[in-house]
Amino acid sequence: MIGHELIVWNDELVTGVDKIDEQHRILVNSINDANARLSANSSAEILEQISRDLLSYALYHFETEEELMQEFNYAGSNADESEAHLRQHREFSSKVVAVRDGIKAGNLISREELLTFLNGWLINHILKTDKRLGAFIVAKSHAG
Amino acid sequence: MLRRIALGDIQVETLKVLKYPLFVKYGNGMTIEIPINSIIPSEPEVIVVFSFGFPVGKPDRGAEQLFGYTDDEAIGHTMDMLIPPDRPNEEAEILARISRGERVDHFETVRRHKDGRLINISASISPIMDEQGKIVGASKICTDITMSKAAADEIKYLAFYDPLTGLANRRLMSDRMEQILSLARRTGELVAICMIDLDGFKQVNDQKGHEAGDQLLIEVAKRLQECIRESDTASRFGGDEFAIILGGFKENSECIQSINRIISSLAAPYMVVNEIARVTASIGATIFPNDSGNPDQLLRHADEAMYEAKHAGKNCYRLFNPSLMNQQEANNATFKKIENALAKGQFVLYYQPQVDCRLGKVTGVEALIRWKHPILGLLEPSEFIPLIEHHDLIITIGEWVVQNALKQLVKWQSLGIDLTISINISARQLHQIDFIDHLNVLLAGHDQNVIRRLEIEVTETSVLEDVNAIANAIHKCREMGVRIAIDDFGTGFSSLAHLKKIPFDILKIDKSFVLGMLRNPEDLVLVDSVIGLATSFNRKVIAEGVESIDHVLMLLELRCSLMQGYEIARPMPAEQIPSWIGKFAPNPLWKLVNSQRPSRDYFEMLLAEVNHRHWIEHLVNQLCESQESFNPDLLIDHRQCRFGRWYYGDGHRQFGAENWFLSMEPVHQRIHQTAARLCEHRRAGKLAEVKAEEAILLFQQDELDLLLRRLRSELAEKYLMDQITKPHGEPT
Repeated sequence: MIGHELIVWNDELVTGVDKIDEQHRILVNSINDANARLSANSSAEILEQISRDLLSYALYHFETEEELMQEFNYAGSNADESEAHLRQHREFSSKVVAVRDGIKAGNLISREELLTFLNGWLINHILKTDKRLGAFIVAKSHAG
Repeated sequence: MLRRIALGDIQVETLKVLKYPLFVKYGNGMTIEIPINSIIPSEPEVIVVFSFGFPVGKPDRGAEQLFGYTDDEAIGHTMDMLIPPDRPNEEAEILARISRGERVDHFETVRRHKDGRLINISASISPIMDEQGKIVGASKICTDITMSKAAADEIKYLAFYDPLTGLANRRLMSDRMEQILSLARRTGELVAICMIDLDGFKQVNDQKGHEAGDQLLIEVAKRLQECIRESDTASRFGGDEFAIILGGFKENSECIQSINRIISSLAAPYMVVNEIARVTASIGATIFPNDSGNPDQLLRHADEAMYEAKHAGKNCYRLFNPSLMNQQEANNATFKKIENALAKGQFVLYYQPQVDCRLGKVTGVEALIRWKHPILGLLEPSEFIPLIEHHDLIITIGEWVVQNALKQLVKWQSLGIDLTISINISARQLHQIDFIDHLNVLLAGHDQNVIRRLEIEVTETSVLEDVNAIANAIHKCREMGVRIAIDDFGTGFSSLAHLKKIPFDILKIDKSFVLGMLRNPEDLVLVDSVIGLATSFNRKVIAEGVESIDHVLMLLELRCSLMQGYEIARPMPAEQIPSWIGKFAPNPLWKLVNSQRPSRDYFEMLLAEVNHRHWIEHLVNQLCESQESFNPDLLIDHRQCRFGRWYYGDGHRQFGAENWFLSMEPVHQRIHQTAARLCEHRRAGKLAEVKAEEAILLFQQDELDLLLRRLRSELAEKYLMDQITKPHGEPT
């Protein structure tokens, strides 16, 4: 079992857009929660709940971000980046749905795989993709 | 004691009572011509006038009542006898202010009665001036406030303390909490806010009486105070409910230690009304600043955690989890969004065709809900239905689905399209007591031709929650003419006894098994058994998740002909169904199954492929875990696996002369060699090498799969060509 450190919310994670940051904090808490509650052998019940929370996160959080992207015309200013961003959102949702399908069929995702996926999301999406969006929105709001 | 003080320019012995009782009641006729008529005293106020050498009016006995000294006892004596020893300078300081011409109003202090008891007085002191305005003395109006002071103290006490235990009450607790939290904000220390509820207190009260209950509460309060530090606060909120604030921690674990100490202290037996009583405590705690709510919220959170502790079996503590609360809030927001989406008509039904591949005929469709989300686009049910499956919204949405499916059936009927529509009913809806009544209302007004085309899909797991009740509901559905399919079959743990009870019409094999059956022999066995089960119960069986021609052919081979999946059609809006049906033509390969050789080889290869990956994996695991010495030959022998047996047996006889067939041999051999190396590295614990070999194995297996797939498609083409060139009707 790989030891995953608890994630402490820090300035590095801040995108600068309050609404986004607030929701990211909830995700960070969920990841820490998953870390604390999952043992080496994940129980279906806990995985079911964690994955449901992640679905919920995908729904409200991606809506928030994508609404902001539309509002600030991210695609118009930065088409490739916007498209990649949306694609990552869809991939996240698909992965969570796949995890849930697995649970249903009795193929439980391991603690390590789930935490690796979530930490990867944090590192690749929040720390990179979201921060670029945050910087864009902050710059645009100041300009406007 | 003699003190000298300058009063005006006269040196006087200030603390000697010059005239006693030189008290007048103003209003009863003033005898001094000095302007102090701004003070209009009333009972029970008395006026003490200290003057210097001239007479001051009519005597009043009030002072004697107040202090207990008669004229004789007072006059000429110092005032020290009236002044408690802890405030020796008070009178002198007041006189100094008076000598500067100041007044002192409502000065509350303590004086001593002749009998020694202390009395609270309120004094207003004014300078006395002569005609020239020179200060020649002071008048002092005293009021005995001992009683009102005691009453006020009592009121104050009652306002802040619990009269039974002497602990702080809720109000004082809130005040203290503000102070402790603001201190903690500066120091960065942790504060635990705990709610304590006694377990079994009611029994003590009921069985041993209220007096025993009260004694027990007093003892609990005592133990609580012994467990906490002086800077912490314990309070009683009423009944057997206590709260404590513990501060000054650096780590959560320290808070928990303290809480555990309290739990074990309170769990020790109590001696009340000469009997032993036992209670324990359930504690809910929240830790600041991790939980950063205001004092009221913190108490509420601690209270919630306390209920969890009760729920978890009592005599324990539970910590409030703020992230859980945030998550719940977020989830609640999601419910709202889904509710709004329904109101705004953002849900639509898509329909996925179900086809009988043996007959090459479209038989029905499954209605699948989609959320046309204004921002996120088209969402599949798997992305949002799980969020509401424990919420009544799922029932509202379920009924919406029934209504719309019925409307669609009516519409298709008018267009001459003969299809069944199957709809998904959630466990929650199915378990509603009035599910059947609601369904009846929804079905009302529709004729039997519509109703008999409606199929209700219930998942196997939801049936198993309460087999008897569900069997009953399903029975009633069928009486109404609605057919029942058991969805996701294979994911639950139905016993044959259960299945016998449930009057289902159709079994739907869960797509995970269908998808897995080409890779995993266990899934293949499961699919085969479900098909066998349906056959023996004389029911229909549908396979979901059919995503390739290989799936279709394998299922046909296993004698399951009803299928649904991307290989046949993706779900589509209702409007597209008529044109899709118009264009639908069965894939000619579906007939392959009815043929004899060479198409049998297609399945042999398919089975060989399914088994090979699994066989290798299984063997590697087995050899790695084995305590016996490693014999790599078991892996290296590529003739021993199922694929090998087919290849060197049937395969060789059939295709031995073909180049493509021969090209598979080295690929297959390499797989076995890699597996042997992987096994050796694993046994030696060489992790880096293991990873490398695993990657190579995966690559080689993909390579073999690719060759096999190419081979199968060549076989299929050959078969199709044979069909075209062969005269019609000739057996194949």
